[in-house]
Formats: sequence, structure tokens, C-alpha cells
Amino acid sequence: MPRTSEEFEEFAVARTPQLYRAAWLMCGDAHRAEDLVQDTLAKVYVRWHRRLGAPIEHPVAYAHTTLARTYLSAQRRRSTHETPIEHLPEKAGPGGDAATGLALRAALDELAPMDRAVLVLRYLEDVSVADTAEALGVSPGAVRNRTLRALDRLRVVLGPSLRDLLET
Amino acid sequence: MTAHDTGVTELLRQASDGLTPDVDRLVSGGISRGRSRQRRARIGTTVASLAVIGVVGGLAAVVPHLGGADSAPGPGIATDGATAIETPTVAPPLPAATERALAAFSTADVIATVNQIVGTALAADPRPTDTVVDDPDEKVVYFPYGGMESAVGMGFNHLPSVARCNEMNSHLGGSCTGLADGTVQLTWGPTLADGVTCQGVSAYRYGYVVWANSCNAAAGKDSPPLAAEPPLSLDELAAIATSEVWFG
Repeated sequence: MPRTSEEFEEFAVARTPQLYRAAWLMCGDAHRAEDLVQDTLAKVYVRWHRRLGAPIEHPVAYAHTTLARTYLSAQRRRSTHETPIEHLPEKAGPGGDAATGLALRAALDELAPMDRAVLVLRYLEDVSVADTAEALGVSPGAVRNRTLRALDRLRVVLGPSLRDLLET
Repeated sequence: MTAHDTGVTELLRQASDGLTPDVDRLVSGGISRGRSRQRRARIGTTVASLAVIGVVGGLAAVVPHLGGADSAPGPGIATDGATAIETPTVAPPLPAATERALAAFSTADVIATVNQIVGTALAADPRPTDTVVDDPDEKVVYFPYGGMESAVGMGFNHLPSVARCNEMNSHLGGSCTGLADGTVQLTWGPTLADGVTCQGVSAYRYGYVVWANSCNAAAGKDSPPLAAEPPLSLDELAAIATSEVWFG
């Protein structure tokens, strides 16, 4: 039995803040994050209302997997079709802790899109290695390697300020 | 997780704390994009179905002419050797400007509207066992009319022409006609199946189909007939299917 539109809206309203948070960390850009969230909601909407097949078993996990895949897919398109000339200055983004936001953004910018997606799923969403691997279509070993590489890269970029940032 | 791992989680949370997305705008944007995706998918499905039907129809016409002992016509059957096989063509979907949205109807509204169009009070609320679909892009309401099963449905459907309508329904029976306002109308029945006689009319326009059926029994299958024929005549079903009221 397909779920109703009202149920979808309730789900979307409840999950959008967290989806946006993940999207912002992946994209590092408020506008692209909004676009990514809306694309994700659109895909979940279509799947939610599909008449054939079983309903989505774990909508939250499904939405976050869709978000990560949509992000990676968009990154692939961007890398083949777009040549950025310069980075537009982005506002600090989150109003709460501008310094942390800017420092982390700079560090995340150094990571490959797949590594960012791995970090967000593993550490923000607390998704297991196996589920992250399944969501991103890579092996669990690749997830572990990418995680280590991303953490090493963060350590290098953030350096000693990582401890300071965590203490602020 | 190690202490360092926990630190990363905390760092990600801190960095993204204080984000204040416009949730309502994002949700309504997501739903709007989702509906567009659904619509595009349905256009694709419809076009693909029409193409398949066209190809199958074309093959069915071609195969007997391919020669071989099995395909040779029997004696005494006249054939036209110059029969042209029309290449199936699929008309593009109607431009968006010609589409109109379905009016927002509740189930109760559908029942009341049927009574209003037909000028009776015989349409009653759906029974617990009746199918009701109430989605933004599709509505289906089965209900008793004079105690006998009837139904009204409407949903997204681009049907490009009367020819296609006939092609699609040739194996099911029924006939298609083009109305002056561009509506393609399919009329079928009365047909007897599973001991029940049913008939119906579908009207395709504005990128939608509105259909109305009526049967002469309490249920459409294996149910004793309660009348000689369905309570809603083909004229009444046509009036329901072609009513402008569904589009507001």
C-alpha cells in the first residue's frame, strides 16, 4: 500500500533540516545544498508514491542514501561540464559557529567528493561501514580507506587548530 | 568509534549547527520537482506503451506477409497485396500550455458531482470494500450507484489521437471518436464478463483521462445481476466523463 502525500510531507518537514545539514557539509555551498535537498526530496517523493513494489522500508536511510548518490552524480556532471573560474566568497553559512564552519569548509574543500560523502555518512549520520559502502556503491574496504585518507587530510589541513576548534 | 572519530562527529555537528534552512520552501520545492518527475515518467511510460503497441501491431500485420507455408493465406480468402504498413508514429506530448490541472475533489465531492451531472441521488458513498485512490495526480472512486458498482477515475494520460485510441483498445473492444473540442472519447460495452454486465466511457483531454464505468451488480465480478443492464447509461457515463467540472 503506497504511503500518502500527507505522510510524505510530514516526513520531509521532519527530515529536511538534517538533510540540509548533510548537503551543506557535502557541497559547502548554501545554494547547491538547497538544490541537492530538493532533488533528493523529489526522488524520495517519486519512490514514496510508487504503486508497484513494496513501500520504502527505512525512509530516513533511503533519503540519506539518495542525497549522497545525488551529490556524487552531480559532482561527476560538474567535473565534466563545468570549469570553475573562481570561488565566490561564501558566507560563513551556519550562524552559530562561523570560525568552525569556515575552517571545516576549507578542510572539506581539500577532499574528493566521495571522501566528503563518506565522512558525512559515517560521522554525521553515524552510518556503518557496510551501509555506507552499499549506499555509495563501493566496497567496505574502500570506505575504510577513504575514511582514513579523509581523516588524515583533515588533520593536515586543520592541523593543531582541530583541537582548538573542538574546544570552542 | 575512537576519541578522534568522536571528535570528527562533533566537529561536523558544530560546523553545521545554526544552519537555518527554509524548510517549507525546500519541502514544497522538493514535492513540486517530485511531481514533475512523476509526470515525465508517466509520459515516458505512455509513449513507450504506445510505441510497443504500434510495433506489435505493425509486426502482426507484417508477419503474415513474410512468406513461408505457415503464413500463406488459406484458399478463398481475399488479400490485398498492396496493403501499406503504416510506420507507427508517436505524437509528442501536448505542450504544457494546453494542460489543465484537475480540480481538487474529495471522494464525497466526486459522489455529489456524479449525482449532480446525472440528476439523481443514486450515487452513494463508497463501501469499505470499494477502491478509493486520492492522490494529487490520480483519483479513483468506486461506489454503489443504485446499489450497483460504478466508478469514476481521472489521472494523467496523454492520448495523441483517435487512431491511437482505436489501436490501443482494438483487442479490448470499444470504439473511439473525436469530439469537436478535441476530446478523444472511448466508449465500451455493454460487455458480459464474470456474470456481470459493465460499460464505460473514457474521455482523454488536457493531458488527462476521466473515465466512468457502471455494472449491473453489486460487485464487478461473480456477483448476481441486480438489473438487466448497468444503471448508468452510456450517455450518462459520457456526460460524466466529458464534464468540464473535473477541471474546475
